[in-house]
Formats: sequence, C-alpha cells, structure tokens
Amino acid sequence: MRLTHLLFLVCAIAATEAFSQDIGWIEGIEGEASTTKLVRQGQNENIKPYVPLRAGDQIVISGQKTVVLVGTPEGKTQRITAAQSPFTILSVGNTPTVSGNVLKWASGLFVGESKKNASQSMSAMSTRGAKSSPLTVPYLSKRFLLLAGKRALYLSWSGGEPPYRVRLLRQADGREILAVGEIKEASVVTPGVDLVEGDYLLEIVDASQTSYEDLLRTVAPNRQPIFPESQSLSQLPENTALLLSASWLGSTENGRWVIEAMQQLHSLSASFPAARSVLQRLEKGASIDSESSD
Amino acid sequence: MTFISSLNIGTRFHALLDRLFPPPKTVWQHLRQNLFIGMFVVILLMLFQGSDFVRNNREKSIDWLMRMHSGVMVTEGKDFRPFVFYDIDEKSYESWGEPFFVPRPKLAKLIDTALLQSPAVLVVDVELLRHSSDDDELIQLLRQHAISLKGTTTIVLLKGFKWKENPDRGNYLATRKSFLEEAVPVSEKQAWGSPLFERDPDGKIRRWKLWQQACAPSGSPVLVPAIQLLALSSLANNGDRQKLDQAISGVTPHSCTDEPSPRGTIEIGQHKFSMIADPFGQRILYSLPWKLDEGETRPEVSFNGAQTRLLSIIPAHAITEGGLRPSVPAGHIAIIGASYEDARDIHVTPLGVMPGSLILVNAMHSLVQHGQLNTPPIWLQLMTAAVLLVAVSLIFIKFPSMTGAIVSFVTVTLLLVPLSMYFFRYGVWLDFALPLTAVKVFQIIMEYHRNRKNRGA
Repeated sequence: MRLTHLLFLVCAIAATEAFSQDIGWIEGIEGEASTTKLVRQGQNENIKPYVPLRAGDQIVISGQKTVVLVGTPEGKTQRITAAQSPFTILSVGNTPTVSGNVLKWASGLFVGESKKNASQSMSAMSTRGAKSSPLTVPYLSKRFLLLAGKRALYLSWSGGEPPYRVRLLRQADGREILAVGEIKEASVVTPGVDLVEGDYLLEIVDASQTSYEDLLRTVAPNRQPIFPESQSLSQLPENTALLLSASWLGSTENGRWVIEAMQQLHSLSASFPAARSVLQRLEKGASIDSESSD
Repeated sequence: MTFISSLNIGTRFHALLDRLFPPPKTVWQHLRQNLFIGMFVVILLMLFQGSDFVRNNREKSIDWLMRMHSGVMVTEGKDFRPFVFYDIDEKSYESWGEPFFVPRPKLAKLIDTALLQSPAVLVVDVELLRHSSDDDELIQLLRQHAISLKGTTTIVLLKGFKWKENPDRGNYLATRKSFLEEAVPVSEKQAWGSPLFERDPDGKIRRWKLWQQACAPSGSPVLVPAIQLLALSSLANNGDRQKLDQAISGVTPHSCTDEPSPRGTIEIGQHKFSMIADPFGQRILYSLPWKLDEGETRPEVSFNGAQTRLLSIIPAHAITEGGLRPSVPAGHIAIIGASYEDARDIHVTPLGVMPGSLILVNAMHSLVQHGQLNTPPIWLQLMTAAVLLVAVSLIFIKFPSMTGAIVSFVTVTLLLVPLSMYFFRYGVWLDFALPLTAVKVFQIIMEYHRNRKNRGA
C-alpha cells in the first residue's frame, strides 16, 4: 500500500509529449544486482547505477535482501525493497499550496515547545554576510589539522567584540573538552587539553553572541609532513631551523597545517622574535608562498 | 517625591483625554472620534517605522507570508525560469575523497554537462581563487566558452572578497583575484558577481544587495554587481548587461574611502530597480525551500513548450561519476554549488536552513518574478487602515467590552491577512502588521475610555 504514497517527482507525462522528463535515477544497489531488473515499455533491462528513470518504468526485485536506491531531483533518495516489487515509477506527489501551508502552520501552533526547539539545528558561517566586520579566524577556511596529544593551544581571531568565549567540542559525541571565557584580547593560550585523534568543533563567541565555528582534526604526530631538506636544517642555528620548518609547515598541503604551524611559531616566538612576525602573517590568513593573497 | 505628587500628572493626563475625547453620544460622534484616534496611531507607527518594535513586526509578517508561500506554484502571468541546482552534496564530497576544495576536473565536468543543456545563465557558485595542479581542463573549457561563437549561455563566476585591516579607516572589504582572470580572455559571455547578502542580527539572510563595494588590489574602488542582478540582466540579449554596467560605473566612487552615491532607477528585464538601498525593496521573496516535507514535490511548470520542474536538484556525483544529464528545456538557469557540511555554506533563512546556492536561486527567482518587493502607495495604506478602523468602531459599538475586542481583531485579521497574501503573490506587500498594531493600540485606548466612563470619572 505504501507504493501509492511513495514520493516521487511529478511527471505529468503524456505519450504525445515531445519532451520526456526523467523523474529519477538509480542511485545504487545494495545486495545482489542480478536479482533486480528494470522493465521499460515491456522490455527487460539491467539495473545499474545512474540509469535514468521515466514514468511507467518498473523496478522488479526478487532478492529478499536486495535494495535499490532511487535518487530524485527533489534531493531525496528512495529505498525500494522486494516487498514493494514491482515498483512503478509514476507516483505523483503534492505541490504545496498556500492554504495547505496555512493549515500546516496552524497545526504547528499546537506542537510542544520542546519539539519546535529540537527541529532547529543549523551550521552556519559568514562568507555571505558582509554587513559589518565579522568575527572571523582568517587563517581557517577549511578543515585543519593539529597533532594529537596533551597540549595547550594558541588561538587567535579578528573582528567581533570582547569579551570572547572559546570552546572545543568533540564532534563524535558533542562533549565539551575545553571552555575558556572572559577573554579580553583576540587571542588566547588555552590550558593544557588532551587531544585524542578525531574531529573537533572550535567555537568562538563574542560579546554580542556572534559565533564562529570551524572543524579541526587532530592526527597522530607521525602524520606531520617532514621538511623536504631536513638535513640542511641541521646546519642552521636551532631557532632558525625551527622557524623555517614551522613556516614551511604552514604553507604545505594547501595550508591545512597552518594551525599546527602557529602552535610551533607561538612557542618559538617567546625566545625568537622573528617567529612572531611570521605568526602574525599566518594569523591574518597570509600564505607564505602567496603574497598576492594578503 | 512630594514635588512629583504635587504635579498630579495622572489627573492632568485624564483631564486632557476627557477634554480631547468627550464621551460620544451618537454613532457618528463615535466613528469620528475613533477614526481620529486610530489614524493618529497609524501615522505615529508610520513615523516610527524604523524603530525596532515596528521593524521587527514588519520583518516577521513578511517572513510569515513567505512561509505561507513556501514551495507553491509560480504566480500566473509573471515571468519565470526553471532552475537546475548541480549540488555538490555530502555523497558527492565523499565519493570525491573529501577534498579540501572542489577538484577542478570535476567542476569542469559539471560545467560542461550544464552547458550541454543550454541554460540562459550558468552560475558557478564555487570559489576559484587559487591555482591548483589540475586546472587545465577547467581553463580550457572556460577559454573555449569565452571565444566560441556558439551558444548564448552567460557564465557568472564568484568574485572573492576578504576583510583587510587598516588602522586609519578600520576594516574594509577587498576583492581577491582569481587565477582564471588571467588565464581566460575577457568575454561578454562571462562575468564575475558578488555572492554576498546581508545577514540580520538574528542570523537570518533576508536581503540581497545590488552590488558589493570593495577595494581592488590596485587600490581603486570597485562595485561588484550581485550575481542575481547579473543573471537577470543576462537573460535577454537586449543590452541589459551594458545598462547594468553603465549604471554601476556611474555610481562607483572615486576612491575606496568614499561611499557610492546612488540615485534613480535602473530597468532590467520587466522590472525597475531603485539604486538606493531599501530594506524592504531588497527583501528576497523566498519560495523555494531546500528540504521538502513528506508527501511534497516541487511545482511543475510549462516552459518553452515542455513540462519541467521549477527546481531540480541533481547531485554532482550523478553527473561526474554516472554521466547523467538532466532533462530540462533550454533557457533555464543553472547553478553549481555545494551543500556538503564542510563547505560551511549553509545559512539560516525565513524558509529554514539552505545552502548559499539555493539562496541565490531564491534571489534570482524572486527577481525574475517580481523584481523588488513593492509597497502600495501611502494613500492606499492609510485608506485601508481607515476602512478597518471604521469596521472596528462599528463592532465596538455593537459589541462593547471584551467581546468587541475579540470580534474586531478576528474580523480585521480575516479581512486583511488573506488580502495581504493575495497581493504578496504579485510581489506587493500590503503591510498587515501595522494596521493590526494600530487596531490593537486603538482597542486599548477604547477600553481605557470605557473603564473611565464606567467609574464615572
């Protein structure tokens, strides 16, 4: 019975129409492909990924554990099982109407507050908004890599209004592993935190509750790229060698090690002022090898 | 304290009210007095329409109207274009090995496939600032498109911006140069547009911008036209693009520190656009949500003699890995963009969250259909309010006290909201929040007046 309720794209297809509209495609097959077939205008065809589907096509599945995934231009994926076989692709859904939306809205007024809140989730950033100088972390624009281990972190940002609050949450379970508040400057050295390998959500919130979020990934220390001519570094003074190595790290692999490079440069800057100026450049989002981007 | 008490502010205020509004004896006196009070409230609210209270009410009322029109069919008699969104979704991102940026050969394949369907405009909502080791195919494709005499598709590319610090003038936006600007010859069939929108304090994107002012690397000022405006001006090959370019160069300031001085209007397609920023004129009339509810489908439209969806969302992997080609009539608008989480391009809008590319689609759809959001002339707004106030007064005379308040409010809502919804379909915003607020304030005054009378004051 669910067949009639399955959501597919409208097709409004008439046999006389010159323009035949595809209303989906085979997204994938789970299980044995040999137990499936596509019946089109009485002819049997093999089901394989990305075959376009038209109105009237039938998907036949004989394997009990086989599932055919059908994608639609609605942005939905439909799972078809043997229980639904033969599945005919002609279902028509309903286009929303103003009266339907009003009814939906009115019925929504009686939904409990907790349910309303639970449905509001988002991930956001601010590249589209250009109203005022936003709270931003110029050196972060993709997922970035840090070495795992117990360590203090140096973080900096620009824009927004102090005081700031910084949090680090483990993405796997949402557990907060670091929280520092009442930060007056646009940078902080956090207390030591145990970073196991995995993904973390970095959140910086300013006084007006504007937030910046980004993903950080911690990886095993042996994943850190090695400076290509490490032998030549050994002939240099230690601080200079460290500076060169960290600067190179900040620009390698499209800059995805920039935050790790910043940690090293920050440690070095206390004893070696030249590291501070490189650090400042990286903080502003400059790439060591691309001056034009700054 | 004694001094304040001696002023008898309360007593004086009551006396003033009694003198201004003596208890009416006839229906005509009632109507005249109520109309006077009501219109005073309306005018007061209009004068303070920039205040947070009035503004928030208006924003919310437009948001509500948009939600009521979410996903519905296009307005009859209005121009429209079908849209195809080539979506670099989570699955595409995973199947491409979660790259740090969109692999250029994959992007080239998407552009190539999109061009084969002959869209009027193809928006590439993908950042293309930095050179990569795999750019050749993309450069070759765009070069060919730029110099080819075949095809009429205009490709709109995404201009990059970044904030720069300057201790003297504060932070400012600077344009960023893409490697493609040097690698591909300048062509009328390719343009660079601004993808930036305004974000409201509640985090929602409600408004588009005609252009984005920024500073070029050379230090000269530039106004980068909005992607949706470029798209609209490219739909018909009638010189609209040149008109837009001229209008924008006409208002470009002489230096980066100056503000542009826009004036007048510009006519693009069937619509006139005010060059002056108007918080309500530049509202995006969202109508295409990202996710549909259970049992819902996208509207179907007849375009160029063929039935098609108003919006088709095709996952990028189906094109790049499966070689799928969407069936959509020529002349549509195509956009290539990303919705995978790591792209961090998901935003909050009055229709819920959606990828930045869908915001562009909504902005383009809104402009093609309605142009800028219009408000009825002020005399019509005042007349509507006057008629409503007369109706409310009559209800108050018939049903005094609380019943009158309830009956009148419900009547006004039932009259005004459907009317407002009807006009909204045609891109006209009949403000129902303002008259409703006026009626509510008016009711409070009436109630106060009645209580005073009952107490024999």
